[in-house]
Amino acid sequence: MSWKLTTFLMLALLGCALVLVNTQYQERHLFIELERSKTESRQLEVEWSQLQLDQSNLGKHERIQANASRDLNMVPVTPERTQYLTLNSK
Amino acid sequence: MKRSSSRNANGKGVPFSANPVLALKLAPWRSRLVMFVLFVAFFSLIVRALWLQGVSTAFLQKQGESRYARTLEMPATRGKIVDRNGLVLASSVPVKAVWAIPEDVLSEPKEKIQKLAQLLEMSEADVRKKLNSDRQFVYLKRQVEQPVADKIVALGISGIETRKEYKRFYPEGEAMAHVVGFTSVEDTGQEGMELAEQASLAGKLGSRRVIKDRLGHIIEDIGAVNEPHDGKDLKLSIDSKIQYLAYAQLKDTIAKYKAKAGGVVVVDVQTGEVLALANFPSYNPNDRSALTGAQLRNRVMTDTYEPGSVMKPFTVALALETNRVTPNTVFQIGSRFAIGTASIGDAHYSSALTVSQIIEESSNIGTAKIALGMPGKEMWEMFTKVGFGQAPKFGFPGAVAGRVRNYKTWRPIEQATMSYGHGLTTSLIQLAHAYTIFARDGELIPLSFVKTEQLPVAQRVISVKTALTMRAMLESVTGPNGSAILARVPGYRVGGKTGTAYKVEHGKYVKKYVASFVGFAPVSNPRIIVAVMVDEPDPSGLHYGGSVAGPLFSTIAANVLRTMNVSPDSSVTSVLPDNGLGDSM
Repeated sequence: MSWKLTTFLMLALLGCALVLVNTQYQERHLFIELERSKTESRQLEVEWSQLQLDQSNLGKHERIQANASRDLNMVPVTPERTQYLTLNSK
Repeated sequence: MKRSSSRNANGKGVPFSANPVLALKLAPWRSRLVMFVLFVAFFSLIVRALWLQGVSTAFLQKQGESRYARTLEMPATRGKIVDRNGLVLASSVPVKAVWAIPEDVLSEPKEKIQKLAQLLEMSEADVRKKLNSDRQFVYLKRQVEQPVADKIVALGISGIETRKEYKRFYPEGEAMAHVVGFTSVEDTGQEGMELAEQASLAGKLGSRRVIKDRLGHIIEDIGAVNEPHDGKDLKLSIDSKIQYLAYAQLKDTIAKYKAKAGGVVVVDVQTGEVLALANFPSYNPNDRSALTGAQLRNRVMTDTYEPGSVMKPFTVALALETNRVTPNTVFQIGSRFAIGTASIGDAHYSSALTVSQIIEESSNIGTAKIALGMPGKEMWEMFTKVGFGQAPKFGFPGAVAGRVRNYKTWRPIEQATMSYGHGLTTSLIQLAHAYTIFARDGELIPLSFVKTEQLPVAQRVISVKTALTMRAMLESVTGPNGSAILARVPGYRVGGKTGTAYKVEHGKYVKKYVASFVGFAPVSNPRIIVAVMVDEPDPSGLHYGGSVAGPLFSTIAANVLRTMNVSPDSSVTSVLPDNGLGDSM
């Protein structure tokens, strides 16, 4: 009886040890993946601010105005040439 | 046989050997000796293990950590600055600082150093000069953009290292330079809102302790991670479109009148938000290598000058408020008005003017006569209440108070000149601020450079009735007999006041002018205040407030009103063909 219990406990211990090894191995893998994702997220954040910056650069009013008047022959609107529509009018 | 049985522990085992030839006659102490040696060996191992585990464990752990554990700095980004519509005005992007260990680099082949110099956009001689140092650490160039830094690393020069840092980019460039300001290479604010909001914009670095393997991969964290905190984004009240328009038109005006400098402020009357603040000359915050003090100066905030006639409405408003005059009270004007030994004059002669006409035609004599009918104390209180001579609370660095001397020291001639804006100094932003009492039915509202979610508390200075009367008078300034007919905006009723002030140099008035105009629109329900100032327009050409600052006000106000979708409150002559839709208004 006693040696049966001992064997059982021994096997259980061995099993636990193997599970531990496996868990640690997986933990490392997941950790590395997490690190990689974190780096990627930082990278994307940088890219995002870069794109926002580009958007600001391209959407600059100076540039829009220059393009509109040079390439599209547009002129600024003045009230004389504006048709004002009033709500609830006839 | 006998011996073999004695060797067995239980004494009844199988004989060791039946062959007498093989029977060894060994002394019993020999086996005991072996046993003892083995025991000692094991014992010493156990002692050693206990020693390592118990006594020298701290030392060993330290040694292990120093080989595998590293403290990593976790960078935090400085917050962005965006305009009221979320357009980025300032943003930090990671770049590299390239540094060198001079000894190592100098031992590299010549062509590699040449290539390095090329990539750094420096001459080889310059690079060598920098490397010619006793120090172990020399910055070759800071704020190198990422792709270039990658190429430098790819050269594989020993002793060249890079360090991560941030570079601040300002897409709006010079139009926005004075509001946003800039940061140093260390990413700390130096000017403008970058300086004012440094505490909230700056990020807080974090750190973590990790174990790295032989290849430098992070394996696990030791202890708690000290998370980094990125700086908070800042949303300004500035509208970048209005800001650009104001800057571009200011620039044109200054070129046209050969002026030295100028400034514009646009304020939202309802919320007190500053929609635009432009200065000329300006600078490009992305490249500050040739920056001069004149460019850096935020004239709107930090330059005080004698405002001139722009101050007249405050004197008249006080006289109306205290029922000393009505808009129709008549004052004798004449050509000169003597006060003590001095005398003052007007630009245009009139024999008599009503109070309304005094504002409309900007009469110095008339304003002085109104002022001399009031105690100095009341005038001083009025000026102080609307913020002149008071330290401004705009949350903007470098804003100045201007100077209004204590009324106890005023002589009558000084009280007279102060009534029309000489002998006291203010900044343009203070004028724009003070004009909120006319635009807001008598209330003074605090200004803000940050987008506000809730309306600030306004403080009543004059009654609604006085404010409305003043608005009508100020509108007449842009009317057919007014001094600033050029300040009119097609489609909108506008009101305001011109100012042409002599500049003071070494305590004397000189033939240099500051032309200004402060006004609001539309008069029926004011939405914006626009204050413009042109410093030293060419005195041989046009230099009056009405002729220089007036048109500038007009173009800026027209654009701002259109941008803000304010509907016109005055008739416009339509040039559109009659399409049967009826009158557009």
